[in-house]
Amino acid sequence: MNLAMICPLLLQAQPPRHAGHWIDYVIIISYIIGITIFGLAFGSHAKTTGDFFFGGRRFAWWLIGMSCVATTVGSYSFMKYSQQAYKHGFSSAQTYLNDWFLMPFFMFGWIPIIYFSRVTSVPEYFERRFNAKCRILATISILLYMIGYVGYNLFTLGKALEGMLGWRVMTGAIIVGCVCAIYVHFGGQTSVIMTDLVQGMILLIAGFLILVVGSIMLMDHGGFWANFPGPFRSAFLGVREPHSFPAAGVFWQDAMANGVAAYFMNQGMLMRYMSAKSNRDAKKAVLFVVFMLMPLAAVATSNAGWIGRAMVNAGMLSADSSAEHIFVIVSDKVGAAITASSGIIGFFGLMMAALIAALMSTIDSLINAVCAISVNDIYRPIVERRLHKDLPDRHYLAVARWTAIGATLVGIALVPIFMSYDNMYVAHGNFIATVTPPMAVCIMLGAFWRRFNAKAALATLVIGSACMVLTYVKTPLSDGTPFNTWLIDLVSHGVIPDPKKGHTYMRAFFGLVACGGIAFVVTMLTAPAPEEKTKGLVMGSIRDAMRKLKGGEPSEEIGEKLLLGVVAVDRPEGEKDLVKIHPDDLAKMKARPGDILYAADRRWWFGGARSAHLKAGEPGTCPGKVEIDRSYLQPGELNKQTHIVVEKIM
Amino acid sequence: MSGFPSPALILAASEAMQTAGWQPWAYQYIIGGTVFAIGMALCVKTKQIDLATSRGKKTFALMLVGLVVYALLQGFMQMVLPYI
Repeated sequence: MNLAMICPLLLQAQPPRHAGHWIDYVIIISYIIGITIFGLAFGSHAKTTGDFFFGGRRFAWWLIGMSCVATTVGSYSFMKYSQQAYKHGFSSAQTYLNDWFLMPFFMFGWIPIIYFSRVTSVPEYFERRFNAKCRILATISILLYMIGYVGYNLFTLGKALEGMLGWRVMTGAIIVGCVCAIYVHFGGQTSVIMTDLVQGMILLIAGFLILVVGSIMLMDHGGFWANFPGPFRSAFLGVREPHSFPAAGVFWQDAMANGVAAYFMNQGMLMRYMSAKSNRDAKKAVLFVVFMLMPLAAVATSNAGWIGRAMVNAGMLSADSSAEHIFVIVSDKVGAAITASSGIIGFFGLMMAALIAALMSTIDSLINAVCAISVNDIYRPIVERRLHKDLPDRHYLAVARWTAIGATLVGIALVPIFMSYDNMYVAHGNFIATVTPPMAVCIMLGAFWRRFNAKAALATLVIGSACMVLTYVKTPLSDGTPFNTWLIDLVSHGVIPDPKKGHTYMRAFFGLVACGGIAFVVTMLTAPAPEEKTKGLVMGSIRDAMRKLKGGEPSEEIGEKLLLGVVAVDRPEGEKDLVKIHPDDLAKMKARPGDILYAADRRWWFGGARSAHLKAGEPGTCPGKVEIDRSYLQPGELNKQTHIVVEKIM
Repeated sequence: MSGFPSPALILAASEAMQTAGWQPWAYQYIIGGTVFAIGMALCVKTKQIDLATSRGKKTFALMLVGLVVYALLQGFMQMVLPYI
């Protein structure tokens, strides 16, 4: 019995486009082993669910920012945006450049709310803001959203490996999925963030390498610009057409629906921002992501398509080159050129490593987020509320670790579903457009409209989801128009539907309008929740959440960061988190007794990996020193430091 | 080979894509700008951005600069770049 008889799924699907040199495989294997060891080294400190899910909430903004971009750029990004870039030119970047509109809501509303109210998940927010039923529905929606993303990423990586190595899609998905599962099982949020830093840099470098080398190759054929005609250079296509990429549809689907999904609803991203050392650092991280890294990511993920289009126009690639495989085709071409001109081997391996990095950096945080929701919103409530058991935290940590394995297996099982779609971008968009609008409307109105209440949220989630299901009903009406096309046409303001598939992009807009309408009507017909219930959970009452977290009046004055000598002491029980600092030093930090402080290793490049949150106690007597309990030095790995950097947080 | 795309190729690309002019840019920035303005108004009203302080003013300006930079960048790409 041979392998073909045992498992037909693992057979070669087609001849490999590029078998690769052995050095390429050494690079790929070294990368996977190296990043796993790196992740495990940091992940070994995850001793509680708080460490596993939130990394101790101690990281600097730049680390969080880089990690967020690595998470946002999945393996599908290279395939999907290269495909769009090849077909439509620079307008493929539209999806990465339209996040700014939601930033006032996100940076100054949603982030402070979740940061200061200390919710662990969006479903938990739903229970506190609305009720337990809303939490259950939110849990289902978000789990579908995230596990679908896991499957989709595995699918796109499988497609890439199919193109490059000739493997079947499932083969690549299973191999990489299993590696990820093991990696996430042992690591926690800390290892996710630290590995994302490396993975984010690799995928940006690899992406830009294609642009640089591809542009150099095109110089012998008139240059990139000459082979990239005017219409391909536009930031947008038409408002209403072509139906394959209408600007209005992309705006509503990507900027509005997906924007809310990615920033407000994606538990993986939220957990990343909740891992920041302070609300200020979380906001800085957002700025860093949206203003600096997203444009870079847009170029890194799209440029293979741009270069591919120019190469086709220059006659360097066949005019019938597959858009779906253009990333692989261009990578192959660029790699071959590098080898031919300089003899350097390994570009193919680097590209594969970048794809795998993109996949791992996305999937690890998604799996971590699935674990958080499974444990905090499903398992823990059942154990504590239904079974009335009081289990130790290490039990939940073990459940979280094994959930990582289970989530990956479910993601792998979803790969064949994604394989049945012929256009990956539309498949992804349909999925998001279906599950997102009801949740997006509830999150936005819940956080920014105090009157919005539990009944309205429940109606939005239930009736709104039913409306979204209706957008897939294709029963022809009397004039032959499919029902779903007619339905979305009611709001599509002239955007042209696909003649075969009907509306794709405008489904999100329909969902936002329908869910927004339901939410508004029900809210106006029902009584608002008592103000006490919404304190700290809606914009306008964030100070209440800050007060509750601090246990006193918050002060947001920013003082100096001070390098202070460590004096390890043994403080009495109940005062272990209090530190003593000389009044002059407190004044420089603009801190007072009772304020929350942050102490970190003096080497900034640790990004908070060695740090701890503390509370200012009664003033000390030694200038330039901080008296700190030994038990607080150990978890933050500050026990070997003679000096630490201390700053006031709140 | 001249190194430049053939007129037929450019024509085919143009027919397929149609340089859309300023309308999609205006569509995105009028609707998106309204969403942004509502968000900023909420921030100011709830004092999440406190215009009475210099830090608040700087933050407010930074947010506006972000919007303007993106608008200029995409406006340039849409209305100038195709014709260079």
